[in-house]
Amino acid sequence: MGIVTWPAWLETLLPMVVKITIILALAPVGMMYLTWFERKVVARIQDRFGPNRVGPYGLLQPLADGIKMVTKEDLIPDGADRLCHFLAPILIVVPALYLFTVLPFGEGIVAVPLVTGLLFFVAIGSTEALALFMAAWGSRNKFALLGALRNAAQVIAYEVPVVLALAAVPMIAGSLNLNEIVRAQSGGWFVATPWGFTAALLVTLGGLAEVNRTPFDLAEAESELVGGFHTEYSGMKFALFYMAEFLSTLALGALVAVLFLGGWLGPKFLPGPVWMGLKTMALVFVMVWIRGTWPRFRIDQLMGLAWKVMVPLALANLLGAALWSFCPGAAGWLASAALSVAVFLVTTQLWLAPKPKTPTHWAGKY
Amino acid sequence: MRLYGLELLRGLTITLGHFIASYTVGIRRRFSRAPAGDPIAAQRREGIFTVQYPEEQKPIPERFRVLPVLIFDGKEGERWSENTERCTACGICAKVCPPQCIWIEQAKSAEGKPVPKAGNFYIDADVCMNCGLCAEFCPFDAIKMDHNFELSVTERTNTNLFDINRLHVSTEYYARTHPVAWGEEQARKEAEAQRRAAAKKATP
Amino acid sequence: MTDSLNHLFLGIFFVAALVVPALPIVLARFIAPKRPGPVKNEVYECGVEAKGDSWIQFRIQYVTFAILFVIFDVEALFLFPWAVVFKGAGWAGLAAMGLFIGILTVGLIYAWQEGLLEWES
Repeated sequence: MGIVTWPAWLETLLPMVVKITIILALAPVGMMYLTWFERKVVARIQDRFGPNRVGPYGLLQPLADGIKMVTKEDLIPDGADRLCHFLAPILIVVPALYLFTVLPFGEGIVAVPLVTGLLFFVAIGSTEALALFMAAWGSRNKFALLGALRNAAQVIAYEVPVVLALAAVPMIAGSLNLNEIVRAQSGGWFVATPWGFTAALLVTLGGLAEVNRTPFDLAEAESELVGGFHTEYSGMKFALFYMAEFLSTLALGALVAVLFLGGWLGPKFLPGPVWMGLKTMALVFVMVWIRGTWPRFRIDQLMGLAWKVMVPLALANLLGAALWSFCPGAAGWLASAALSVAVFLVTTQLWLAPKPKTPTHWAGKY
Repeated sequence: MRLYGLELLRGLTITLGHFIASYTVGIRRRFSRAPAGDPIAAQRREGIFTVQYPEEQKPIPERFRVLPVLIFDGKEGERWSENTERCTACGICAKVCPPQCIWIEQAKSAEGKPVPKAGNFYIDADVCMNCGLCAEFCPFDAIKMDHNFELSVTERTNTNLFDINRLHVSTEYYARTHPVAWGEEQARKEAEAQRRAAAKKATP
Repeated sequence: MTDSLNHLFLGIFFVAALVVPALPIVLARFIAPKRPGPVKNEVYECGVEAKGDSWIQFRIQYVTFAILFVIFDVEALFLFPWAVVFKGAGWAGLAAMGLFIGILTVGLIYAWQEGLLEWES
């Protein structure tokens, strides 16, 4: 009992304000150092140093970038829809910040323990395509609109396999609450199961596509579309698009860590949030590593990968999870693994194998 | 039948190898003795290859050439004088210079008679294209190409018109930057001196 | 926290989260220079003068993929409640959902065969 008795409404409001402040203060800092991390890792992959001039190890580089961005002129093209143009960068950052409200960073350390946390995450995450389209529509630029349309096609294409792959997790964990999902993994991380491994792969790759990162950054495609959707953006508004992208990347890493790598679970010599942070960073490293390795997809490859390989694989994976759950032991394990491998082999052959010269097409046959 | 996707994984292993090597090679370099010769270029086959320019510099090859300099016989740090300068103001360099960036003023004796010395010597550094023809044609080995490329300035209309004081460097400096060419020049002059001495003896 | 409090939190969060992107934009408005010009404010098209409107026709395939997406996203909508109670539903539940997904899979195969999933025209 405190000496001061707070009014009841203040007692409920104060923790909320504290939580909101923590998330809103830490997320931009995390984003800034993610840019530093990404530049360092990509530089090392390319045998370079990366930023190493501003501060020790270039640690003040994000700060310098921020100052530069604020002092840059904000250009708005003459034909632009000014309201759309202004709102888009704001509306793309807000959902990215929302992603952090449902993520558990430790045993019970979560801002909003929503019962439908996973669904909320997916729903909020996919609204970014809307803001992106607003940006392109508002700037009234052909490159921007082409980029945004590609992005819309890409996001809806990858939404399907990601959601289908995610559905395997509540099947086994029996809950959509992210805390409960972590607790369900106390017996073993989901990534160690065949269906979990497939789902983790699908979610990571599909998630990369949804947050527009290389090799799926067709919406930006600086070598063909100038800057894609943010062609007409400069200064701080331009930086906000990057902020959204990096925040989503961080959130994606955290989500995969929670769903498949056991979240905060880990040996007791380190506290839960540290384990969670390490796993998230490991996944972010993998994403940066992929960025440093693979070239950008063509749009037909992009759509092919989503619809012809990932969707069938995600559908089969649901069956795999069911088999794994109903037939415990080696039989279920092997059946689940065999299903994933078989579907992957068959779909990639059907998709990529050289086609015969006269295409067999049903419409022509009958 | 082909297994698709393996090459993607192979690509990942290659980039991871470079990532790791960028750290391990750096550590190895720090604790191993630098090899003789060029310490930076010798180990550029793996690991980070960035040359961090102001602190690190790649060695300059001898025949590297930037702006021309005038040579006087003397030590580094000395000032040139009319006695030590090699230039005779013959004007050949000014004639062969393709962009015509050389301007020579002949020195005058006390009586006002022209003497074979350069009174002043101008090179417009903004116009010079570093071709080296002046140094090729100079019969007195008085004008040579330099190695100093760190010439950036914030003002160019006045500073980049180099005069005779700015252009003069000592033979010692030249011997340091161009050891091979300097050796050849000395050998040639030695041979010339011997030939002359022999000719003098032959015709009493 | 109860569920209504959760939603209250998310509501307050929206207002608070607006500050994060809005603050630097407002800050930039005071700090950044503002020197617009007729050429500077042109729509960027690699230096060529922009011809016509940007709101032009796009290829029809974007729509066919959108329709495919709607089908599968509705499926996902049914999938999540089923997934939560999956363990209690047993083999019968799996069979019911299997039938549903099976029909959609046949649809996907048909779309593939018809060439709807090909991007190049």
